[in-house]
Amino acid sequence: MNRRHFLHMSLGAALWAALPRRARADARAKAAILLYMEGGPSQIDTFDPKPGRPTGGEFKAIATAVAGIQISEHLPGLAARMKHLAIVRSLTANEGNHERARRLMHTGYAPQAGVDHPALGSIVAEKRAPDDLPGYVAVSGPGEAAGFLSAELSPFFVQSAGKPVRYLEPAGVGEARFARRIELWRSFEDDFLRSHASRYAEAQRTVGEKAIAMMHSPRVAAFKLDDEPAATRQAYGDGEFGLGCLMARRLVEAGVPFVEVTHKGWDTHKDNFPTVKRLSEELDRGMGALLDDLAARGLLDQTLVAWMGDFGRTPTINGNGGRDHYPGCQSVVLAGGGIRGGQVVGATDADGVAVKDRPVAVPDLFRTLATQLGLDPDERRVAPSGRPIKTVDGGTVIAELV
Amino acid sequence: MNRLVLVGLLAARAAAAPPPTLDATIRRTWSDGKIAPAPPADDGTFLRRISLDLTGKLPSRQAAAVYIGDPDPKKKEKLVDRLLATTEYGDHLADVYLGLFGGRDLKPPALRDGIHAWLAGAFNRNERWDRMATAMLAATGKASDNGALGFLIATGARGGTPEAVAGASARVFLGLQAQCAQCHDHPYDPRFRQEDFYGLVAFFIRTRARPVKEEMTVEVFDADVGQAKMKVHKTGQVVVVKPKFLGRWIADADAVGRRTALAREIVGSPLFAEAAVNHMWALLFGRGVVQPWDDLGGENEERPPILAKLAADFRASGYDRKALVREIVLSDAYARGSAGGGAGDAAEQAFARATVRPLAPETLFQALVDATGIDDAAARRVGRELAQTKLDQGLRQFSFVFGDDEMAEVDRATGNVPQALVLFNGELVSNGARAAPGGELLGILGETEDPTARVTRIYLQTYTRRPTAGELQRALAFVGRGGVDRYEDLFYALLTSTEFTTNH
Repeated sequence: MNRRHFLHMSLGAALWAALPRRARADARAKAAILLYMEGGPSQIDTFDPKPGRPTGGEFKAIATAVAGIQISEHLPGLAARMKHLAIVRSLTANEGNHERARRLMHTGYAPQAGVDHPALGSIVAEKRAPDDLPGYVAVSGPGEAAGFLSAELSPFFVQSAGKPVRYLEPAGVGEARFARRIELWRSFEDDFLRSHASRYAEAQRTVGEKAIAMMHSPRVAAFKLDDEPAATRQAYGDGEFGLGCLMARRLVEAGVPFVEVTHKGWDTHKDNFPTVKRLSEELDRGMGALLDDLAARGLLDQTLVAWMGDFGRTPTINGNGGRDHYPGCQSVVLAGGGIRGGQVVGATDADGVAVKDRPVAVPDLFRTLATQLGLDPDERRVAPSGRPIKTVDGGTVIAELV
Repeated sequence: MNRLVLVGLLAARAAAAPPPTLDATIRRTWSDGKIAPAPPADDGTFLRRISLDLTGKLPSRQAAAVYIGDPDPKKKEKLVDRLLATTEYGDHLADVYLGLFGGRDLKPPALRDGIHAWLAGAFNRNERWDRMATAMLAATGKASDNGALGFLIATGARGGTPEAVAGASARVFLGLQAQCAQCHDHPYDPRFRQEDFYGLVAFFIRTRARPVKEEMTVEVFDADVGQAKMKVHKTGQVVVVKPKFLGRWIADADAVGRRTALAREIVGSPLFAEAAVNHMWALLFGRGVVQPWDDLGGENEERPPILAKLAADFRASGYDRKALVREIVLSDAYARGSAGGGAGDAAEQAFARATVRPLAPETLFQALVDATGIDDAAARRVGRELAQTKLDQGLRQFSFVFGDDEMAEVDRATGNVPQALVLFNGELVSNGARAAPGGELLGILGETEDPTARVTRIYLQTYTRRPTAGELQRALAFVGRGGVDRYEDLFYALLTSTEFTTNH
């Protein structure tokens, strides 16, 4: 390459860098649903079975709709939908403490005192939040906060999918009286902004108006599962996780760009097998129904579904019939949003003790998610300490998936 | 003029001029920056601000009326002394420090309460800050016997590592963001190479914590062995690092005990007083003299005169926190009003105009409880015990929703939609705004039939000031000949307004 050519190229690169960074319009995925397995799901007893090995445990492996891929016998619904799923069996990390691993698996960064990294959901919300709905909703679990980004981007927390969402309606007064109150409130806010034209007062006014807009938005009906036909509700079941999946679909359909559904109970230090069996049944029904429902509505291709948790669990089974924390080997499952389904990426060794093929690091996973969601993985945001923090901490897109 | 004479003259001048006061230093900063200070806050605004800042409590309408009408020229000094003598002063600072340590929702509650009580007691007795810091850094034993363990327990509680505790100790006691150096040499601060960070970690590497389940507490002790190991950023090589404090190896660390040695170094550092006064200033103004308050290292090495003056006074006083607070709140800067200005206002940045800033979650919650009397109203309805349980639940929920802005800087804080929804539609405000037996609104309506007096008292109850003529007129027009419901609506709109939910 001659010098002139080189200059030309680097100028082009500089121009590209100077363009305003927005979510790419041609992104495959317009929204993401994160199915978060709180406590750390056992990979061997779900998506990375080791039948016949001493570490394999009590469950059998079954064939899936894709030849050569086997998963746990307690996930028959997902086995049948394998053509949608990409299983990454070789995610490896080194955070073995719940709190730290949770941060890692929500932000893509290992926690460091001094920088409070934002959750991926908050970054998506920053680019795509609609005016009258939150950009990041966390169902059945609190999700993770926006860190050094604006508190406005922290998750809107829905305590339980099965219960009405609180505080979306005036308490104890009718609509007319609420409107009268708000009219008076607005006059106080106007006065205060006039006399105290401060940044925080302005932000408070904006946030208050957004809350009022949300209360009155027809789209807020997305939080109300009662409107759903009985057949659909039946498909998802009436368990907390299934209802959470249903709410996620409704929210995505209404325009929320990032929904997280927590599935609790995966910290199986004892009685791993009966617990994981029950959890798998809940997972199988909820996630299966979600994939079908998204596909039937033509939303699957533009909705990235990700299944993951704090970390994997030990191949060895402890004295209490449990498995302990094991960040070295984890399985992650992706579907929809332009992800190529029907495949397995990477492998652990025969006993699931170590990653054997194609290790995937957390930044690789997050770069893949961010790219599919049309974010710029290298966009820098400045943390309060003055440090520029990229959307994703390096990594490479997992090429097999996209 | 020869050099000796010049030196002599300068020395004579320095000896003759009395050291500048804090106010002289502040006014000098303003005149140098060509900044016109905002007019002083009126009595009500000042009373509200200082009560929330020093005790986390909203003054009652009665206290507001008395203070505003008090002709005593010394009333401000007397108010400050009165507030510093309340137990709420120490309670509030304990809330602040527990939040700073990351221990706001430490569990079990008994553990949290014991730590909180230790902090509150020490602040109320006005324990020297260097002694408090030493006690916290060097603490051992069971938290149930020694609340000074709060710092180590809270900073290490969530996935706590010696790295996290070391980073917190640099931040809390020295105002340094040392954590950047955990992974690589600090980009701006030559004192914080990666080795310096691990040198700090080395002081905590032998510290162990063990839950004592039967007593619902935690025991902290030191092992004889353990080394801080650092993975060198550039080479990936793992090396052992010995105790090192801001560029100096501490040779006697093992002889005197690693954490005891660290405490000695920390309280001996000039940063120790600077960090304490900058943090206190940030609590009282919404931003530090050096901003952010915990970034005194690296490029921010130059000390503005206000910070230098306060730090010198704090050291000279023997780290007397009440004297420090008194000096700041009686200053010309703290006396300023908050009206006028706007985003990026130079006067506000120079502390020549007070800042509109969010209240801490506990403070906002308590302010709503105090303004509405919902605690007494609920106790009438369901009994004191159940009312208290419900209130505690409410506070937890409130802290969860509002906790997100914790220690957020005023220049970035925004609040969020869930917070606004809890205010608009939550039980606290919706029920609190009712004219219910035991509640404040019904109390006010019972005191007088006169609409002007009623509106005035509702303003004193919420904004700690009387309404302006325009506000009174509008409120009277709104209330009209309507019934109690109109007063409830007025009360509701005041409680949810930004003038109520902020300090300013």
